[in-house]
Amino acid sequence: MPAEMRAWLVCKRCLAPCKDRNLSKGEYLRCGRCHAQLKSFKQGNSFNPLWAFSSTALICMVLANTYPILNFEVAGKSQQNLILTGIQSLWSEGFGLIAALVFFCTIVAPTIYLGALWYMGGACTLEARWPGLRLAAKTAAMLESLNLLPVFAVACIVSVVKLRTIGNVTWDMGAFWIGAASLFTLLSMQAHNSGQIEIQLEQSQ
Amino acid sequence: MTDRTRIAVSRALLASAVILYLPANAIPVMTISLPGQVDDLTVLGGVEELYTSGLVPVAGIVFLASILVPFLKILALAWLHALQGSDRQRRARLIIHGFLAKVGTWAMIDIFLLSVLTAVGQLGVLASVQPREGAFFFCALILSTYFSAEVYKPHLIWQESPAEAR
Repeated sequence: MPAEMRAWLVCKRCLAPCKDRNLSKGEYLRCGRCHAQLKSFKQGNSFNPLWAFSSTALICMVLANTYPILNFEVAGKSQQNLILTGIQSLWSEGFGLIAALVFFCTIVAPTIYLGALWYMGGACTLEARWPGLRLAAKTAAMLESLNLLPVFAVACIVSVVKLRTIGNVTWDMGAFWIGAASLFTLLSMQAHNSGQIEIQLEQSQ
Repeated sequence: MTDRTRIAVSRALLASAVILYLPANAIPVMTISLPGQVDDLTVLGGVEELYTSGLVPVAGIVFLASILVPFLKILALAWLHALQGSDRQRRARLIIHGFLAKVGTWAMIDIFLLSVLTAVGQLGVLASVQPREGAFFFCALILSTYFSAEVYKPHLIWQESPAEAR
């Protein structure tokens, strides 16, 4: 990219060109038209939180899919469930499309999204030029709104409240890991600054 | 995808969301069977049941996420399309678009609730939960509003007139 072009940034939200400049501590660069934040001052290696949060979220994600979420008991008979057993039940009841949607939004999209964040966070932290970084950035942008693990966590709470009107419900370890995975997913989203990563990618090029 | 196509696709999806809103809320999404009792629950019926059980905060969350959010999304998208090409209230339209992107998918709470209840509600005559056809309509409604908002990119708000769309 020529030097004169590098002096301009394009707002991702409204596509307005905005003049780039060096920032000092506490300063932000905002789009003059839609006020979206384009760039913020970063000191040292500020990609560490993104890498740390996404790594933790990925580990929690694996554990959330391994342990049962809750235990439901009526008249001495009990039933446990994992994220996957809900999907299997919907599938076996003939609701394959809904099962696929739940599978995508609770397992596939969060895992790929967190994987993309982890990859970008790692490359930016180590200032390395790993292959496929642009693809990872695009994937993360595409899947951000489809990562519905926090919504699933709230649905679990609602389901427990509802099931308590029918029988005995006890939380299991999976619920803890779903909560932790949701929390670290939200923290990763907060630490993910796509504009900053874009600048880092340009510089490493 | 050109801007003109984006607007057309978003409008088509919005129209289908309007059509789907009624069946999604009128057809039962699940059947709960307990000894001596079989309940077909619509989305609103589920909220009503939670409310009458004294679980008002939970009923409030489900009502907000499953009924109000899709309805507000339809209204907001209709407003964005109605003002397309005009220079009125651009800042407000941008805020509304941001709201659509942030809260839009929370309506999936009802589908996830169905998935958890179906998984644990496999205790035969003691307690069972079966998904019903209304869940398809509800999913289709959520997906229509989601993709309608997703296809409508915020830069379209700054288009001066429909003729500018390429």
